[in-house]
Amino acid sequence: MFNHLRVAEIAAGVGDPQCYRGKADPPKFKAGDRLRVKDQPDLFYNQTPGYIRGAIGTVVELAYESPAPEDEAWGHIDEVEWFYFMCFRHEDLWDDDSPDTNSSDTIWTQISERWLEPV
Amino acid sequence: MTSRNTPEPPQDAPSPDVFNHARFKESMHVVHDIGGEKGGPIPLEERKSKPWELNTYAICECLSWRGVWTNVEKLRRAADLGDKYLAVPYSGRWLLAAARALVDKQHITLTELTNKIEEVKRRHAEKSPR
Repeated sequence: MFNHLRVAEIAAGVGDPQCYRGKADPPKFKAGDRLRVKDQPDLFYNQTPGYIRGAIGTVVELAYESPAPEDEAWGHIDEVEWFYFMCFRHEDLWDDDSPDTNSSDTIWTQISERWLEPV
Repeated sequence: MTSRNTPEPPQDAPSPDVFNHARFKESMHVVHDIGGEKGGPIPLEERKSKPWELNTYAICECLSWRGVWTNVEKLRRAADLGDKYLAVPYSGRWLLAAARALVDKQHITLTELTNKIEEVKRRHAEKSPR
């Protein structure tokens, strides 16, 4: 639960996200997994951009453990989960493209486990 | 580039009879999620931060240091500004977010903040008469 002394301790330099290392349950996914980004309604706040909702991408690697933005945004820092580097193909995200980009271009983003589901 | 998920512009509050899940999803779109929207060229220019911008960063860091908020809460509070998120300069978002956090969490009252602004305005006017 939010505790201003704990938050202050973290802010004093322990460092986010390293200070949450080892706090999450074992990761559900691994590098190479093909996953779909859930398309949930925006309830007040999240950091999952609309353009990857419903898209299928590949886990590049596990990123770090951290509270999800939805929780940390209100000061809840006890529930920690894995974040993943996900790689998407441009052509899976964009309807059209400028002539000087390649359809095989990719985009990387970091996303928390709760937004991901197996294809 | 246009995303398949680019949101429709907001519409007037509809009657519950026609308000379905798709309309709900559109109306809940968050202001900071602008990836894929039409933007145009970004001017690249060197500029020095103004003192109020630097002070704003210091305030935000102090609020983290003293446990008033986390950095993610700062981001959320900026997005909660709604149309003001896009209407003020970049640092203005964080300044408004900081003021709102201090009022919400009862570290200061809105009355105290308003009175202080008046006081500083008066002091400033006396120092630099027009």
